[in-house]
Amino acid sequence: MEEQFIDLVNHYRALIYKVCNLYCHDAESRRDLFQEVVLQLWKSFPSFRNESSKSTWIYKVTLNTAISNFRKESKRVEKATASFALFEVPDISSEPDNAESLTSLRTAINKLSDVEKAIVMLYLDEKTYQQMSEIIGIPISSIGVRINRVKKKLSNLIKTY
Amino acid sequence: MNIEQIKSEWSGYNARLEATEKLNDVIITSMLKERSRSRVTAIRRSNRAYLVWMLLVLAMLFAVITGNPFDFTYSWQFIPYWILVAGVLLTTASLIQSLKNLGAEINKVDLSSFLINTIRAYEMKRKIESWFVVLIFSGGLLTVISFLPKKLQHKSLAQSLLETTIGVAVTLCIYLVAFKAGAFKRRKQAAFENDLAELNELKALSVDLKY
Repeated sequence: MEEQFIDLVNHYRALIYKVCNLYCHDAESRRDLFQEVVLQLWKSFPSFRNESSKSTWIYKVTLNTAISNFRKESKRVEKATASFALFEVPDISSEPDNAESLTSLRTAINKLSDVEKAIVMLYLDEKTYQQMSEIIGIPISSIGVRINRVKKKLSNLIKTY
Repeated sequence: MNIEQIKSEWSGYNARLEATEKLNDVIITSMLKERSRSRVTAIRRSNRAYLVWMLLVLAMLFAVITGNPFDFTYSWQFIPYWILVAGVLLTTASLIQSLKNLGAEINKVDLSSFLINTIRAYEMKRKIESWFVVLIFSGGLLTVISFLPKKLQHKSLAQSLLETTIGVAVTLCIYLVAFKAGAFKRRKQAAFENDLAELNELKALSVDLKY
């Protein structure tokens, strides 16, 4: 089971990295969130029964963990001394050699609320309305309206940079 | 930058993340093995320790109620201890709920339901905390009064009332000094303010999902 789990985390690592980068602004918080997501996934891995697709399940766990109070509820009590202490979540969008457009996209997304960030990420990841509804928990009928609103807000934010 | 350009930037960003080096087994397994260092585990651990402490207090209170070590004559003399039992039970229920909420549902529900459940848990926790303060305060004061009948058996009414009044005054002073000194207030107030800020943030997110 451990091997399957490691493969799964590796397969979806980009998705988890993306969420960590969207919701955390420093390397330590990103690593904390990544670890928390991996722990949450591991906990529910045995009971995952393919009722939804793997990616939908991973989006759910990752977003719930990121948006929940876990990342804020307590200050880090202990420093990571484990072998993953040197591990860092890749934060490509902040690399200095990036195109200006990626930097302004990132700055604009940072201005969105936590829920809007989730919606924009799912939209840009080309998830279907059905999947978005399953992940976020809003009716399919209102997904389109929400996307349009967030798209408009994002475009306006980008224009200001 | 239009939406198509945004999409293309995003897919480039995605591709670069996909191309990052795979995580090795050691990193992932050490994350799992070192779960005791996780923040959630730390909260759980402290909640469990507090829960054990509350159960010990509860056992002591029940021992007082059933064993009657102060030789109380009237059943009303036990009221303060029942009030304290109610306070401890409320805290115990809140801790159990908090342990249940920490991660129990995060893997099963959608974001909207998760936020609603978390808000409900926060509101319950805040209500319980305010009741806890009222119960502990009144329980503490009434405990002094519960010894009045015993005093009346050996002393005059005036002396018994005077001693009880002094006892109540001393208890009030202790509460007041502790409150003014800030030892209780600072911790509680900071926690309360954090909870309130957290709750408002969660409510804003939930509203964000509704409209």
